[in-house]
Amino acid sequence: MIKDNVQLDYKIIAGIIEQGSRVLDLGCGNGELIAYLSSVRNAKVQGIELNEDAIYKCVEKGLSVFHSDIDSGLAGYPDDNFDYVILNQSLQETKKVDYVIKEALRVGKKAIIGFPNFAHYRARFMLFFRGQAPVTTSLPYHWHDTPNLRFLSIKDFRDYCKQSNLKILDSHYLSDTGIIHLFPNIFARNVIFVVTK
Amino acid sequence: MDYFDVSDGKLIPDGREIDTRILVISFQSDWLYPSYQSKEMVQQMRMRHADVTYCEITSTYGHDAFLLEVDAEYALIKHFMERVFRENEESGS
Repeated sequence: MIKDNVQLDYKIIAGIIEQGSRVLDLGCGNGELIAYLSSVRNAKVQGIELNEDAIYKCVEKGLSVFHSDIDSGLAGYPDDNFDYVILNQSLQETKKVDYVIKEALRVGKKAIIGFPNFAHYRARFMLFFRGQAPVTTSLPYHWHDTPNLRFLSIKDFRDYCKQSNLKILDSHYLSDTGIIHLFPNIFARNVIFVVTK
Repeated sequence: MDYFDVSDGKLIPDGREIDTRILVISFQSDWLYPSYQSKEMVQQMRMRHADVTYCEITSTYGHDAFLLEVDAEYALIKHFMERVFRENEESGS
């Protein structure tokens, strides 16, 4: 089980959820995050993941997972089945973003959404001075091999929430060195929002 | 087999919570028991708040896949059962 070398975003998410919360992770990968939440917060966790090998790893960890893409994986869950639905580093790979966020807030009371900030100053520099599509720590892919379909900034997501009448309950901004508060749309490498209807 | 029917509360009586963990495995190329039907089962169980794990194993062996994709099946069932036994031991049942 993961103990000391836990990723900062995992620690932040563990700090957001309450003890014993019912949690669904969309795009749960090998299940590290939900295994961690189950271990430190006694959360009742489930995951949805498309990669078959990742599903085997999740089952090996004793996790309940559903083998599906995110876009169609939420069908059949009753309303408010979860306290939190997590989209950590998977929103930018989602085809039907609007539908997935609405479905996440149907099956869950709150959604925890984490994504890389495309307006981070390194990405801005690379595009402006070098004239190249950004390749940074949080956006490590080249244009030809990236799984990312969406390139959004913190400001973009705030505008989206306003247009879609979603309430942002909390926000956490992550830089290379830790949590930051000043000018997040320039200095935050990653962001984690907690939203609700 | 098409007459085998566990719908409408025949398997899980209405009003009862399911406290059994369920593992559903399907095979990609099995046209006799296609994956979409297994997914429908999972969705029905979800509606009843059941704890379900579902995996579609990649295979080109069609309906014979369950006899041939032994390694993948074995790994899934072994780890799933290990978890069930561990939880039963912890709860003392």
